[in-house]
Amino acid sequence: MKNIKYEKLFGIVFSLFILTFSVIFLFSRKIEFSENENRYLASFPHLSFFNLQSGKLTEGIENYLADHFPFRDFFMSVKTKTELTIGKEMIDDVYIGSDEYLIQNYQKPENGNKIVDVLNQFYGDMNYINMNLMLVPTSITINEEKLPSYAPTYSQVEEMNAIYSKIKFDTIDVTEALRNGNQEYQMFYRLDHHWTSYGAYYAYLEFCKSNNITPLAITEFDIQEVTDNFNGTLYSKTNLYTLTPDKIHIFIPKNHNYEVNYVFSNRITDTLYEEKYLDQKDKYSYFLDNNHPLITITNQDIHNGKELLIIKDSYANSMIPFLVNHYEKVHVIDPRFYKFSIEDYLRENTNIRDLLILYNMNTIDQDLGILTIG
Amino acid sequence: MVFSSIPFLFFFFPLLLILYYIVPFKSHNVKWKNVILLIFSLFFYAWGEPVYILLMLFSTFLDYNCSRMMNRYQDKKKRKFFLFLSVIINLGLLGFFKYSDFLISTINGLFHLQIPLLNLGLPIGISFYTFQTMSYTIDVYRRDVMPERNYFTYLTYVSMFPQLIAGPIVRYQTVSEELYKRDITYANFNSGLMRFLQGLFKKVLIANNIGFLWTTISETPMNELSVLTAWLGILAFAFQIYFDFSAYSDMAIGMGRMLGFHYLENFNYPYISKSITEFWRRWHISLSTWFRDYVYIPLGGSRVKRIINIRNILIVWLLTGIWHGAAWNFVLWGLYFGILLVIEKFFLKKYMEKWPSWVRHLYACFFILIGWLIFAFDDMSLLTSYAEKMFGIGSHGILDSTFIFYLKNYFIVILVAVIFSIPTYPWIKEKLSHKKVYYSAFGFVLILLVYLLLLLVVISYLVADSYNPFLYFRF
Repeated sequence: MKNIKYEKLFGIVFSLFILTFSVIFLFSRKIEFSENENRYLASFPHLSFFNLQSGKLTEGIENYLADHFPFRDFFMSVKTKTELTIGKEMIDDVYIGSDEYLIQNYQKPENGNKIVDVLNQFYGDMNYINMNLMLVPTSITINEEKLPSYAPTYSQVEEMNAIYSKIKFDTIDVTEALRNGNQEYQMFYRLDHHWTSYGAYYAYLEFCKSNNITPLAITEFDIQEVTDNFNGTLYSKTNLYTLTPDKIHIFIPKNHNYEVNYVFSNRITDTLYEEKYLDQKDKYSYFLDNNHPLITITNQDIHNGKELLIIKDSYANSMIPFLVNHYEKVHVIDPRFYKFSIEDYLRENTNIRDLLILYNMNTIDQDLGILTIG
Repeated sequence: MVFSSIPFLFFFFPLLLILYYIVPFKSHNVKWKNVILLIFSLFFYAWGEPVYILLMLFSTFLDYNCSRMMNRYQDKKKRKFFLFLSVIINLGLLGFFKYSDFLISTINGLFHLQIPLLNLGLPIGISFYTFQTMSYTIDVYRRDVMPERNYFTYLTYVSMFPQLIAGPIVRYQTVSEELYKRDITYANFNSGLMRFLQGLFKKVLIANNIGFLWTTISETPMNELSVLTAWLGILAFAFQIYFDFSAYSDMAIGMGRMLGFHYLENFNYPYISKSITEFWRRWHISLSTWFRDYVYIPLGGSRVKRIINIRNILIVWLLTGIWHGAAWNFVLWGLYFGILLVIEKFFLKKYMEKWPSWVRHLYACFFILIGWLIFAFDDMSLLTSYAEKMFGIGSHGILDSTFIFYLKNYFIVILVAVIFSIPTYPWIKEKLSHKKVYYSAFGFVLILLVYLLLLLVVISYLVADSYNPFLYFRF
C-alpha cells in the first residue's frame, strides 16, 4: 500500500477493530445455554495440573472463547450467508433444499449387519412376542425432489431393504405410505429432522395394517396447531434465520384420558404433551417431554388387556399419541438412556405381547442405542 | 495455539503487541522487547505442548553451549567434536520422537516381530526448530556466524512464535543482527499487519474451504469415486496444502515484520512452474535451501562425477521426503521428486526447452499432482487404490453426478484458488500503482473495507468452529 497519506490509518483501524471484540468479550455477561443452538455452551475449563498436562485446559479455553464470542449468532449467520453466496448447497451436513426445506444428509450406513444380529438375537430370546420393526426413511428420501440437483446420496430404501431381508420377525415398510401422504400433507418438518404428526399418522396406518388393528380415521381427530414458530435442529445447524418457521400440529382423539408415568423421574401427568416447550427453542420436546429412559402410558378408556412395548428414538414421540388409542398400556423405552436389560423388563411385565422397534434411518445407524438392547 | 484461532487473534497477539510496543527501548536497544517476545513465545509453545517445551529448552541449551565451546577452540578436532555432539543429539531427539515408531513397525513387518510401539506424540514444530538450531551450530562451525553470547537471546531466536511451529526455517544469520538492533516502526507494523491478514484470509477462507472438499472426497468409499472426482480431490488437496502452508509463511513473515524482523520468503507461486526443478525453487524455499547448503553441497553438490551427483540428489530428496513425516509414502514422495529432478537435469532439460510453454506447464502440473497423491495417503493400499481410480481402474465411471455436485458447490472456491495461486495479486497491485485513485482517500477506504469485510468473514468461520486443521503435526 503506497498511499502514504492514509496508510497510517490501516493499522489503527484494525487494532481498534480487534481490540473492541477482546474488550467486549472480557466484560460481557456470559450466557450458559444457547437457545438458538439448543445446547449448553462450553464453560470455562477446570484449572488443574492434569488438564494442563493433557492439553484439555487449552482446548477447553479455546472452546469457551468460541462459544462466548461477542455477537456469536450474528457471526454464525455471516458464515452461513458466505457459504450460500459462494455456491454451497450443503452446510454442516444439511442440504439446503428447495421450498425452504432443510434436509439432513444420510451418511453411508456402517452398522446394518450388527443391528440385524442384535435384533435377531433379541427376537430369538423373546420369540413369544409379536415383534415389529419399523425403520422410517427420513426427509432425504421422502423429499428427494427437493434436494439440490446432483446431490450425492445413499439410498435409505436399499439399506432398509437389506436390513429387512435379514430380520426374522415382522417388518413394516412405510416408504410408500409417506411418499403418498406427502402429496397431501407435510410428512416432515422443513427446519427440523423429525417427522410431523401427519408423517407419524401415515406410518401408524401401516402399523395398524400389519397388526390387524382398525386405525382411527383422520376425521376422528381434532387436529390442532399448537405453534407456528418452530425453528428446529436443522435451522440451528445452518443458522438460516430468514426461513419461515414450521408449524406443529397434534391429533387429539375423542377419548384421551391418560396416565403418563415418567418412571425414572417419578413424575405422573395426564397428558402426552408438555406445554412449557412451546415457549422454548426445542419445541419438538412438546411430545412426551423430550427423551426419557422409560415412560408408561395407561389409557383409562381402554380395557382390552393389551400392552405394547416401544423401543425407539425420538421419532416415536409423535407416533405414540396414535398408538395409545389401541392399548391399555404402552411402555416406551429409549435404550440410549435405559441402562437395564430390556429382556428382564419383558420378563417382569408378562402382559406385554406386542413390541414395536421404531427408529429413523439416521439414528438406527448412528446412535447405536439399539445395540444395547440384548 | 494456531494463528487462525480466537485466542491467538483476540488475546495472545494483541496483548503481546501492546506490551511489546510500550516497553522502553533506547536507541535500538531491544533487550526488554526480547524479554517480552521470549516469554510470550514460550507461553505460545507451552499452550500446545506443555510437556515437550522442556525438550526445546534442552535442545537450545545444548546448541548454545556447543557453539560456545566451538568458538573457544581453534583446534579443528575439538571444534568438530562439539559440532558432532550437537548434530547427533539433535538428530537423535528428532529421530527418537519422530521416527522410532516408524522404524519399529518396519522391523516388525520385516521380521514378523511384535515389538510394541512407543506411541510418543510428536512435539509440535520439532522438525522446524531442530533444523534451525542445526543450521546455527553448523554455521558457527564454518565460522559463517559468531556464536550468540546470551542464552536467552539464542532461545528467543529459536522459540520466536511466528516461525516456531510451521516455518519458515529461519536461519540464525538471517536475524542475528536484528536480535540486537531492529527497526520497530509503524510503517513495518502496517505492512506486516497487511501481510499477516493476507495469510489469515488464505488459510481460513481458501485453504480450509477447499481442504474440506478434499476431506470429503478422501473419505468417500473408493469404489464410489469417479475418475474426475478423484482428480478433483487431488487438485483440492494441492490447493489446500499450498494455501495452508504458504499462509502460515505469510502470517509468520507478516508478524515478524510487525515485531521488526525480516524473514526470507518461503513460497513464490510454485504452481506456475514449468518444470519440477523450478517447482522446488518456488516451494518451501527455506527447506530446500537448507538441504542444499547443509547436505547437497557438503556431499559435493554438482561439481562431481555424474553418478555421484545423481547419488547426492537422491540422498537429498530421500531426506526431504522423510522430513515431511515418518511413513513410507513420504520416502516414496521424496524419491519420486529426486528421480524426476535427475531425469530433468540429465536428460529432459535439452528437450524441454523446445516444448511450448503450455506443454511444460501441463507437464509440471501433472507430476506435481501425482506428487501430492503420494503425499496425501500414508496407507499404501489406499494410495494405490486411489491412484487406480484416477486412471479409471475400478472407478465409478469417468464422470458422475457427485462430481458435478462438488464442482457446482466448490466452483467459486476453486476459481479463487486458481486466481491466487498465480501472481494475480502483485499484478493488480502493479496496475493500480499507476492510477491516481489508488492514492486517494477513496482508494484507501475501499481497500480498508475489503480487508474488514474479509476479516469479519474469517471471524465468523472461527466462531462457527468450522473445519480448521493444523496440517504440520507430522512435520
